[in-house]
Amino acid sequence: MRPFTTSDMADLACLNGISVSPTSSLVATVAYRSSKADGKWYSQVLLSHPSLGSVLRLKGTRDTVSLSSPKFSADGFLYLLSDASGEKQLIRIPEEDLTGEGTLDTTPYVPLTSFPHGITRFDVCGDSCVFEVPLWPEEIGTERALRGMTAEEKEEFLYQREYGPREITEIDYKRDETFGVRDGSVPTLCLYSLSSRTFTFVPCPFPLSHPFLSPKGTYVACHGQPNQGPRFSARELFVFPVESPTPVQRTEDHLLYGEELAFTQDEKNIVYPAWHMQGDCAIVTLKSIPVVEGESLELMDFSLPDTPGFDGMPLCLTQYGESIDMLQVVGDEVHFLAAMNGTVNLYAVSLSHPGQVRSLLTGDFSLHAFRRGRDGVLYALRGDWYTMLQLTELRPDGSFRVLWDPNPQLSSFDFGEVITRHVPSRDGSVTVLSHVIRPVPFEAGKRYPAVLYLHGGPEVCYSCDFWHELQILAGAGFAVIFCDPRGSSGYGLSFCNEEQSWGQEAIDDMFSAIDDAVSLGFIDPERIGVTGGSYGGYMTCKLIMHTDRFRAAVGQRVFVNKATSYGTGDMGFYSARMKPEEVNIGKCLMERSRTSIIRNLDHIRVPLLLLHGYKDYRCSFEQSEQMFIGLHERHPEVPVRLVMFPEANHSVSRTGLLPHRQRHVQEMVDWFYRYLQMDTKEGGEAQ
Amino acid sequence: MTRHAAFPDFLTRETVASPAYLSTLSALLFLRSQEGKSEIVLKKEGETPRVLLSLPGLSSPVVSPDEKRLAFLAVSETGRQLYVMDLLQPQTAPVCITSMRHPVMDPQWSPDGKWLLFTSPAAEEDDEQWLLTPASPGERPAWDPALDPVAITDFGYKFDGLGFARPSVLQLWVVPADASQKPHRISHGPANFMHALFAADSRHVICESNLYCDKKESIAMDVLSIDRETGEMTRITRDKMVVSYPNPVRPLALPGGGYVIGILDYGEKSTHTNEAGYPACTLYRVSGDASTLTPITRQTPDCFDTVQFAYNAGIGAGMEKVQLSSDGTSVFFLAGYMGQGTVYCVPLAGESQAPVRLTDSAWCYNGLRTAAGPWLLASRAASDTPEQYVLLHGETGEVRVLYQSSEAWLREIPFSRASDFSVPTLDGESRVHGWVLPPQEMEEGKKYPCIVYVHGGPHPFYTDSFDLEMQCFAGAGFGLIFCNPRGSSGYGDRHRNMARAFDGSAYTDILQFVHEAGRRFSWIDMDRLGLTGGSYGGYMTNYAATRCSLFRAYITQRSTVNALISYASSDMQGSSADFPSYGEFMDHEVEHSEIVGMEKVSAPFLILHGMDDLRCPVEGAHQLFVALKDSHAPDFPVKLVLYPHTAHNQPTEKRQQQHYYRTMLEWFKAYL
Repeated sequence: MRPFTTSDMADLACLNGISVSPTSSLVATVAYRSSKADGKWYSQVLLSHPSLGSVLRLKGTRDTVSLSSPKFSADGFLYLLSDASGEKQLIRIPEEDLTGEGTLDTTPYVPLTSFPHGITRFDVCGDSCVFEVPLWPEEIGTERALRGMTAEEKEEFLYQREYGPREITEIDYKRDETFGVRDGSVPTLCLYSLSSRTFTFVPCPFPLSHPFLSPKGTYVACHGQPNQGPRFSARELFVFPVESPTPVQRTEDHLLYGEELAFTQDEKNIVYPAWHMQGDCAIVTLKSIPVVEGESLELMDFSLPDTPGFDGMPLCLTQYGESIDMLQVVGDEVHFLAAMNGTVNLYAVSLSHPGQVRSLLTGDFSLHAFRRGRDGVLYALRGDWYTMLQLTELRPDGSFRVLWDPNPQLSSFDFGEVITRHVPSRDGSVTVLSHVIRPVPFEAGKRYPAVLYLHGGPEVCYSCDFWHELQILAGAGFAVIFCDPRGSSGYGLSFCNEEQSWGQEAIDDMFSAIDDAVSLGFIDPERIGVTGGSYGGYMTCKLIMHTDRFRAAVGQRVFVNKATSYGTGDMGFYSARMKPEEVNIGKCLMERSRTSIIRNLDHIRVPLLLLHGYKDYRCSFEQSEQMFIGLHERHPEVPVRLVMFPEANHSVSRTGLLPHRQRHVQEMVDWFYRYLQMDTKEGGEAQ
Repeated sequence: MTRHAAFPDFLTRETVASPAYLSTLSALLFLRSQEGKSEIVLKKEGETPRVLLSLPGLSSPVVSPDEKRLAFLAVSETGRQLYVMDLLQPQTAPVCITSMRHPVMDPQWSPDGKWLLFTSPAAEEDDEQWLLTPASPGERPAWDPALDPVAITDFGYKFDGLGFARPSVLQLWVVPADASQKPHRISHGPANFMHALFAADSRHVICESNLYCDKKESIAMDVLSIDRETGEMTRITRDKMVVSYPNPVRPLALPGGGYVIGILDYGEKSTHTNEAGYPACTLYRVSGDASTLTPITRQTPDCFDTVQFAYNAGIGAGMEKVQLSSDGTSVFFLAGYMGQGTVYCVPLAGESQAPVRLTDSAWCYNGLRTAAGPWLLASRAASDTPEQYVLLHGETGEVRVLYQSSEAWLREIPFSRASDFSVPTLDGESRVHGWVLPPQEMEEGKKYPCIVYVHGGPHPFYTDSFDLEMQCFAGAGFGLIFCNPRGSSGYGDRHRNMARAFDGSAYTDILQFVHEAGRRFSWIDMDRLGLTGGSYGGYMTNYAATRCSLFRAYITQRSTVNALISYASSDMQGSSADFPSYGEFMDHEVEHSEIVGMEKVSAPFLILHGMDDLRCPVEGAHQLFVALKDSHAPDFPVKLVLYPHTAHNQPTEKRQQQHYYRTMLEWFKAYL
């Protein structure tokens, strides 16, 4: 047994999504691993035979072929995407080929599609397939949209990607998810008849994405972006019959959330997640709307106590990619995953008698995808403090059977024990869920330096799940304190209060968590460091400006200067909430200057490490430059270091290249080691 | 004349560089490049040019002191290496004398012809043998800018055009010209060593380096001397800033020992961190033992400076700025004077003498080389004449044209000739001088739209040198108005006043000049004026757009937008030292930023910016565009075009460059 370190990150596999064959004889999931050669993520599809207890791994011609998005059809095929040809295209494998164990080479299965830039998402039902494909405007409606690019076209395409000028006329032109300026492609839907092998593009002047076929294949429901200007990114619900694909907009201003929709079995209604706003509070609710005509209905009643919101964005790195398979219509109910009180469990709400949310399965674990087979058996991706996601079969009492564990090596590590605490807030109005990880190795009676690790968001939460960064810190000899202060999701509507998360309440909660952790007796209150990313980076900087509780800080992808973040990040358009003629840029920027936390930079006295991706377009890289240059210029006596990660965005520590993720954690560990592992304040440097 | 100038002419233009006059042959040797092909050309007076050599990536030809050999750079499968060829037997194949891992740059001969000096990057910890071995195909680079994180602990961690500081810096190497030994590195230290040359003894090398400079003074450099044999390094200047960027002046080695160097007159201590703060320059004579520095020039009403920052000269590539006369008694140098690149002469002996102006305002000179006898080789151009190489008589100023580049154009294209005039500034403090370039083949009585073009800096100055971009606009039916407002150099210290460049004075200077142009030239349609400019010119475009209604369209190029963004994200970081608290500094910077008032812009606004611009950070362009969109109705014409892999300059990649000019032309055509 040894502590977990950054080098061990190289062996971790993350899972995503779950699909069950109609007879429940096969359960599929996707495993993501980083290549040790190039550091990039590659995916494999994995099939479990629950009855046999065996596992079949699908592979491509090379290790660098990614297989993803497995979906079973009623007529006995497994459909999935393979990028063996260079782009993700659809292949299908008869179920009878999937009966063995070991590995199955997918090379012989010829792709059914040859879209020039591949397929982003698809769904299949009966004779119909629906694809979401990225197309450039000049390709839409041309024969090129259905065939791969010629060598010449490919060369020109790659040239344009690398050197093509980016012509921008709309305000919402860049996103962190696209590493900056959008590439100009438009998500487009295409229908495919498996029997006649005909493709039909869905005509639409704006992006359509996330298509889902109804249970009998009659309709397609999807997301659409009908707005121009600052509200371009807002998604609405669209529906059309497969037979006459003219999309009809079913919602207006509903702020659709997430990646999923679900039809009811009778094809009469569609269930979709959407933001529910109330004052300063926001939570994700589920709504139902008739396919053809009629108003939407909110399924959750947040005035009832302990009503969780859908999802809740729990933090971890046990799942890679978008959160999917979190929603399923089962009979008259919608079953869904929700973060609540530090776990992600399974809940249900009735479609015919909505309002009250019913808990189906709770326990100290986190689920990231689930599917209930026709036989009623529940399959899910499950993780906990010491276990990265495993493909499991869950029983109603919360016990489970592992169908596949992608990370068996984890059993050989000595993980820090996680102690969960319920800490009353200073104002007594709420209880804050806080956790402390014991350092590894742990000796009773000894006092250890500690790191307060703040989450981002702020409307996300910690949950009972494996997070390698926390265990690496523990393995380096630090106690780790982490909590969900006011503003976090997963504690009901009123807790997720934006005003409080940016205000004093959240700070008070963080200090309550520290005080409580120190009371456990093994933390040296004189040697506490603080770190966090995004909102956590904002708070890290704020805390070291306003208090002297911390001895060192690591600000990850910080957000500190609103006067320079305006326009450089991808959020905060004034015209989204006021008329353009009312916008006075000078006034707006002065207001931003006066309310930026970096104003108090002169108060910083502790060593500060800044970690930032150069292509971060959420909290732009220049935010860290503001901190670095200001601090280094004005207070050269304060150690400050900025590490820039090229070609990395806001997700550098989650989905970035393996060497980037390792360096990111290691820089943090080294910084804290250097400035916290000293026994006395005046002592020399450790190491 | 058969056609007008048009932007595709950029694709076929002939460029010339690195000329040398061979007195033994009475011939001019130079590098000529056209449509991706580079060749070394020899042209005897009165004869047609002869191609000596054509190789991929040919550059930097330098003739040996005895004029018998030619060293040059060419690109082979091992990268850019140094070659030597026999000029007396040009048919024999050149010999490659290096096999460096990193590119070879800037070769220089030793006076005895035995050694070649060059620059090639190296990191402090790099093994010399490793550096002397080319990378094998497919080998991962020691440092991959797209992959390797950069740890930043001090200022100066990035530089426009070069990107983030990498472990490798520019180091100096020497190699025997006969390749009897491998190259060896003579400079050491975590700093750049550049603009080097051999001293008269062929043993010492003098160079410019930031080894001893504060990283905060991003462009500060000293002159150092390095012993080729022992590696011993001597610091020649301390606390003085030599002219290194953006218009480097290579020191001059004197035959009897000692040097001439150009030093910016900051006073005792160089405190400026920003190129915008360039003061005038003085030439100094340095004794052989580097113990005494004697100024040899002084400012007079006929000579304001000893260096020129000509904004649009575009000529003289690969030539020098300071040269010695053949007899070793006089120093020739280039300096801006009243909007023109001008050649001066000053005696080497003596102290603080008045330089003599050798050239008048008819031609813009930019680039010198010692030639033969009293003659000096120079490069010059005029608004309607592309670059030509001439012999300039060092005493009489007489000129013999040796080579006219782009001769075919002169037969085909009726290039416009600029007219100059000046107007007193509103405050009476100075005069604004500038030019009007009419459209090509203008029709009598017709009115034409005009583009007001503001230069960058603001310390550089416009000349009436040949400017292909302007001629292409003139070919498309636009007139151009360009002038040197306050802040421009070449008109004396008073005019160069940096504060006036930013306090609105330069803005009114430009408006004064434009109105006077309108009065003087009836063809100018004052209702169809557009405003554009890059860098400081972009600043001025942004500044004017929130204040006046004279212009019908704006194109801001690589502009500054928000002083707070520039403070931390420009490679020439700013200073908050004058403010007691950071918050007060922030408020001040925001309040005095060009972005303030953007809601008032009332004419179509186009923003052009390189995505790798680290000088005027591209973040500013993002903020400017979002502010304009946020504060205007959705149909108000605002456009942002970003150019990948482009730094603080117009794009140079051919297709990007064409796109850039096409975008500008279409914007002005649409709205003027």
